Amino acid sequence: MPPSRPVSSQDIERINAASKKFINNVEQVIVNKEETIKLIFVALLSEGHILIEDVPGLGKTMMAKAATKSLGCSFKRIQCTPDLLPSDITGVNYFNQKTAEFMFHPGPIMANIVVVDEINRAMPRTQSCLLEAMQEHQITVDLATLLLPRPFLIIATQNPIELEGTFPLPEAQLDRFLIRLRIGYPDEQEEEKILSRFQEENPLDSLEKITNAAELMELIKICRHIHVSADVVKYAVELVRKTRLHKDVKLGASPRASLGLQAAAQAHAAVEGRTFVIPDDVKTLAVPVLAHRLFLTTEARLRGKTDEAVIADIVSATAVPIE
Amino acid sequence: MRASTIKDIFLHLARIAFLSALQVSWLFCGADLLFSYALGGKISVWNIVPVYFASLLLNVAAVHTLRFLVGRVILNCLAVAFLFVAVWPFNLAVPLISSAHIMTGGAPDIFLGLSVIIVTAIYWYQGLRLASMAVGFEQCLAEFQFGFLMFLVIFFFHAVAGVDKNYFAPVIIFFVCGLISLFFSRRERLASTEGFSVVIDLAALICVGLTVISGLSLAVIFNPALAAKLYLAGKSVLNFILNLIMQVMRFLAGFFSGSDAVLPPPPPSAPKTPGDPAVIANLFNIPPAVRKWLQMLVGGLFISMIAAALWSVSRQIAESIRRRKKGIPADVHKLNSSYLKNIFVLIKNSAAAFMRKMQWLYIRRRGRHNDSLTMKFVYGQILRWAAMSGCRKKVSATPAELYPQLSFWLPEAAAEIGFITEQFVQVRYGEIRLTEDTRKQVWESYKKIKQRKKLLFFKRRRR
Repeated sequence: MPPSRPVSSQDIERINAASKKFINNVEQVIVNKEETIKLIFVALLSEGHILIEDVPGLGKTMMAKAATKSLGCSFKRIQCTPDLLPSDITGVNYFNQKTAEFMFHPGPIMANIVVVDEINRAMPRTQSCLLEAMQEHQITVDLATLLLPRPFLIIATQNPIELEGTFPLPEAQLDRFLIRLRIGYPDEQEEEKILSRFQEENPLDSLEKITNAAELMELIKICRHIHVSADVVKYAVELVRKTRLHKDVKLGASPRASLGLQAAAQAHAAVEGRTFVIPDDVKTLAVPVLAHRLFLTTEARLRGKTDEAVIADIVSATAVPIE
Repeated sequence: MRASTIKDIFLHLARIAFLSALQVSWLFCGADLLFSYALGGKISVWNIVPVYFASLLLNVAAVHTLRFLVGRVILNCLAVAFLFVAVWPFNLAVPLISSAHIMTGGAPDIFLGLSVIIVTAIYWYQGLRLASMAVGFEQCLAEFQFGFLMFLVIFFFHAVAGVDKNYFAPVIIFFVCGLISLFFSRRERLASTEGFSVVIDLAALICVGLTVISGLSLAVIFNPALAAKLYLAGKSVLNFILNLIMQVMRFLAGFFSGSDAVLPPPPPSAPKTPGDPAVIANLFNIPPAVRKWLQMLVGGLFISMIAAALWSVSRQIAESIRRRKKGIPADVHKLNSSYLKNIFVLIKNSAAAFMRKMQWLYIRRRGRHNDSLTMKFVYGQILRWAAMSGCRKKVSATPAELYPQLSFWLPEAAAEIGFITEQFVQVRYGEIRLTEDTRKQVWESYKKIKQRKKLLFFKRRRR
């Protein structure tokens, strides 16, 4: 638990107002996905990376772009292809003939927000170059360690259906994503709304910035001081531990998942306008934070069991600390 | 089709009834054996075997498939052989054995005493296993393994004592029975889909202890003269255990040279003078009025235990019918918990109610400013009232998820419930202190909910 510093109601109001603005802003582009957009903001406040996974055409990239454009931070995009090299992401040292010395040309990773589109199309060695950046917020190029700007967030998208020419993300990489989101198909009315909204122009072009990097960093720091009672910590840990003991799970969630769940719960509480975390925050975030970190047994997968279903089982079997 | 179903249900009910009787017989058999031994009664094969065979008949009747029946018969023969091993040599040598023999510290008697304790332990172990109603060959195998372990212990002590060299015949019988039993067990294990595990429930052990204590208390209330006998029995058992420890220590010390000086042989025991029952009975002289109340209290406890047992059996019957309807095979499965568990729940609930009363008194007198305790109590009490009216909460439900459920239960007090839920969440998870006004409001809301709950009760009665 971080050292307790009382979070004032003004701080909470700031976060609450920022979240409302962010949701309204992104909803100008993405129709009726309030909960998903809220989770993106929660991940941003926890300084956690986001993996958006869904079938093609549902607006994964659009959502990532809308979110980054709303934040007013430095933003870069990496379009992953099988021939993408690690140096294309981190940057490269080149020989400058004018000055007759080596100079560093920074890659797209040197930004506050990096959208990594179709991450599973990059080769494993290219994917691996993100590991250090995602966990330690730094990169190493030719023996030199370079710190990345803060806040540093990766919003990656991937398509789970297409398998040809893709490389599934390794467990180490998946574990580094704080949350995994699915957008899902819009219903009939929502789809009609999308058509009318995009009829004349792309609403993404007219999005306003609601905040900046410095302010976002401040909000992140406030969220770290949201109070988490010992019982709620115990509840979160119990949920994570149960993923390791579940019969359908070969590899459960790591302690990094526990840390992520706590940080995300703190951010969620702040977004909801509270100065303390309640079990509902943990429950709401259990599936987005934990599901993608599970590696199910072959039997379970053959039975059609999904990681979300396993987490839902665990949540429904775990007692909430009340009395 | 219909006839077959009825027959199956009947067999199932018969099985449940027999098993219930069986577990009781096992537990009482063990208690009877220990107490008759401690009171100086006669121990012989004829004392144990008839009870065992009675249980065996019940056991056999309880199993309604041929394969199970054969296996159970063999297993029970095995257990009888085991009892012979434990008791037989001494019965040949000493026709009438009592606790007086044990007190002399002679080698054969001390090992007989040990055997009796082990046999009692087996009785209770089997009773407890049956109490969990895990009837299948996994359990039989567990029984066999336990029996085998106990046999090795007895074998060791017999060999050390060197009192009788004729133990090889029962040993051979035991092994043959064991092998046959294992063969059947193996077949059954292949047929079974359940795993194999042996679990002795601590709660069940506590329940047995409480059952014995309450049973004895009841007996003393109705027959005060028994108190003296029980006192003597307790004293004898204690003396016996101390004596046994000394004997074992002497035996161990015998392995080291010169240890005789460290542990001198026990002095020749003086003839035992049993305590004057009249003097001891005076200790238990209870005034008639107190005795009457005690009789009512203990009688009430005893009746509630019987009620719990009956309730358990009725639940098992319902469970068997449900299984039958859903077409779940009834051969290898664990039935619902036994009456022991129900007694345990009964005691646990009574203790929890008592603790709640104490907590309430504490909150009223001193803890009004302890917000956490107060809110936990108030919210917990609302949940309990709701649960008593059939509105049970899921373990995974949070206060926010419970609120709609509670409002539905008591719509007239929805606002108060909402207010208390909100305050509870703030105090419980936010560790926020309540203001004096909020505290007053909480108690007022609590009283309102209590009143509305009572009204609801009467409304339902009128309907």
